[in-house]
Amino acid sequence: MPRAAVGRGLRVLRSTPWLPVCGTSGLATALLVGAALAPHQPFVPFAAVIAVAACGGAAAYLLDEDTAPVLDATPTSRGVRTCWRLLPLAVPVTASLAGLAALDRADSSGRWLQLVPVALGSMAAGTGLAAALRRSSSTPGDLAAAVTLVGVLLVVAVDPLRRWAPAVPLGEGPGVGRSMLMWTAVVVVSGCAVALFSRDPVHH
Amino acid sequence: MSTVVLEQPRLVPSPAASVRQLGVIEAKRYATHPLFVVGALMCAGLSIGLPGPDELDYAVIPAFFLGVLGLVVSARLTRSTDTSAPVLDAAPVPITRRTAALCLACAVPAVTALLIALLHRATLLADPIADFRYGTFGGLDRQVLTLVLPVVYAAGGPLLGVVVGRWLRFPGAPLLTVVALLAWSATLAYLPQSGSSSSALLRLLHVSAPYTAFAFSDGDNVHPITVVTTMPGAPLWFAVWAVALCGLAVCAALWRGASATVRTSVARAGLVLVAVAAIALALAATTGHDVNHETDSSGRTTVVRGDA
Repeated sequence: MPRAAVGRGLRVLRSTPWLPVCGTSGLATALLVGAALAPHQPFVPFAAVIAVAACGGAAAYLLDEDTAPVLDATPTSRGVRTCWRLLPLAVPVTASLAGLAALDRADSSGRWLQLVPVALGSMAAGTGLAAALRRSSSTPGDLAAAVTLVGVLLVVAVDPLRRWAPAVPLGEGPGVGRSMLMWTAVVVVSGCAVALFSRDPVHH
Repeated sequence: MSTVVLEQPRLVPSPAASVRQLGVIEAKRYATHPLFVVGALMCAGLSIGLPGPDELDYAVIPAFFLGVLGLVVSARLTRSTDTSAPVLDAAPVPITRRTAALCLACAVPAVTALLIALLHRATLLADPIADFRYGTFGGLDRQVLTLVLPVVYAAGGPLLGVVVGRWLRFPGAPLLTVVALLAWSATLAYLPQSGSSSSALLRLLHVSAPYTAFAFSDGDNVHPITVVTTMPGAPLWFAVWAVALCGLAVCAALWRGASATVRTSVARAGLVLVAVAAIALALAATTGHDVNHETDSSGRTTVVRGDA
């Protein structure tokens, strides 16, 4: 990759809203580590699901660009900026993986690592929603994060497809595999949404 | 010869009248916000006869859809005028009055929650549930749990949103607040479920959350409920604690940018509310049951001794 492109990319990265991304990821990790310290308390499943949904909310801030109308007029396309902007997704991904691993280590019977697809699906949904909302606002993070957080918690609480695939793939049974498949589908669809909505706007 | 008709000189509205007028405007903005509309519709949908949480945990639905979403809505409404701050600051309406109007607009989710809770009660009257599902709670506590607390939660979230909008200026502040609030409530709400509920500290922690649960059951989406466990704590005093927290949120919101005179009044009110909150919290933890009580489908109640 040319040096100039890397320099441009790093400048794009510098404008990432780090506070909501790192702050929310940090809270999620704290919640999971707290659950790992008392793995048999009744709050642990709630804490795990809230942490996973919070990581989705954190991911929704990655595409916030205060000056998007100006940036759209520069030679750095929206697609390139989006690619660079997705690199900090490593923060919530690492936070959720580390927290779930700690929880699983503290209580291996809980099979907490099976929540990894939910975490990835939640983050993908947050990013996809933010990408879609970027058409109408250059800073869709606040709204996308709230909708993602509430949406993931709602799906887990109502569990609309529980007969076929439970929303939380914990435990054993054929539903677990289907649930993981469902969350993988969420990741794929959200990835397509990010690609679709990251094309440069066409001005007629 | 011509007649000149002079308009009656319009008097400058009193502070109370201007707060009322601004409150109506903010209430309209709140009521038409898409997140509020979606939240209210989902709350109403899940309150009418659909399988939901245990009856005594019904308040979780308005708390989630009107309280949590309301926090985001009111934070966004509060921050939405930031770009016009230079113009608004030049107007003869101080920021305190604008904040008071935003707090008044939080009556919109509160009234919505009341209407939905009444609708929920109506569906239960039409198709009553077994009495054991209310655990050991009497008539007043049942009304507090199913009618008062949903309204308090629905108003409390948006009031906290006004505080967030006024005080926290960084992006992501509403999300961080929501996650912190959910973490706080989820950690403490079911603390006595583990059985060690005879500890005074645990009882205090259990009722110190802004949202807490007072009962749980053995049922789920698949299995019917056969045993309802009533947890320690007094719902009535918890409601007073929650209302005091709402009052403190109003004080915190009004403090921002207030004049010295207003701050003196707000500080006095805040001190009274802190005292009320402390007393209510202590009473919520010490009155009511000391330990969990299980009520089975035949109506028989047994005391569950904790391990602490």
